[in-house]
Amino acid sequence: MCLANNTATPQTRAMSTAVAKSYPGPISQPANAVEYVLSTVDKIINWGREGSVWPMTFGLACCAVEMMHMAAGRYDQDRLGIVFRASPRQSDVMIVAGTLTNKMAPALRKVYDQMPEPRWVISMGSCANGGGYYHYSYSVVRGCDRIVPVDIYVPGCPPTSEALLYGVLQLQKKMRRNRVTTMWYRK
Amino acid sequence: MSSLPRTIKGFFALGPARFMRQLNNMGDTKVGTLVGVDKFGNKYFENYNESYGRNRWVEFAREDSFFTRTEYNASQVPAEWHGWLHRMLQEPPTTDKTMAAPSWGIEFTENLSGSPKAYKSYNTTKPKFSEWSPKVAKRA
Repeated sequence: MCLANNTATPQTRAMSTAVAKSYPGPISQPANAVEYVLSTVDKIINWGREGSVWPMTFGLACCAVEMMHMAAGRYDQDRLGIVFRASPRQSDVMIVAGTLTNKMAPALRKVYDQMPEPRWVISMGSCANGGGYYHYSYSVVRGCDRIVPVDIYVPGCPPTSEALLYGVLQLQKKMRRNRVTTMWYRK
Repeated sequence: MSSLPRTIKGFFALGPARFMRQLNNMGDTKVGTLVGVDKFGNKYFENYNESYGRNRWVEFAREDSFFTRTEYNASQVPAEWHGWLHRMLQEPPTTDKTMAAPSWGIEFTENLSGSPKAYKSYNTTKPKFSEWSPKVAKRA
């Protein structure tokens, strides 16, 4: 007990000074000249990232049909630079399209782990969002966010391909907020 | 469809500023009659000589810009203008009040996901179970 008390006080002190010392403002606002330059570098990086979103196809159920429609002529994901890759090593985004079962969950996690950083996940449809229709089933994961961290949730059962494309646009918006080099500089 | 003669014609009909803006945002030059302006300043046009499905369009008040990153998106179109744009309404909402927002409704906003004003869900029901903090028993 005595040992715990002794270590607790310097720890809290160190933490409080660290917080009080540095908060240069929100990351979206450059604080000095270096950050002005770096935030422009960040925007170029983001522009490159959002212009070539290569999703890993993870078609698990009927949602995958809508995902295919997004690739087809009408919504034509290729105009946004989206190309489906069959290899996790070459993809940036994972679209979890459909019911994630307990049996499939380790495979999903493995594929996610094989993807290179930076990586994003779009959870597509009610089943991937929170189990959906199969929420009370014994064999279904109640949302793929229990397995992988999810960036964008697309609601619907299944979501229209238009909705999925809107989800991709939202993801691009999220990518645009990234400040890679500014974060590195601030650290 | 965009073509070189059409683009040249568009340049003289639209003027250089709007011409560049349209090419930047739409990738096409479209000439039409102004039907109305919504509360955000988005302008709605129609031209029935265009092919079906492309004869009603919106020119957003905001513009995509690489440096400032102000951006337009489809959720900035209010519901009543969405109805006109997607042919749920024959007449524009300036004359057809079918889809006009009711006075008791909340004000229309664009999709605020990802911004500080994004909707955050919260729970109002009593929790069915309570957390417990484990206490380590003293070793003998």
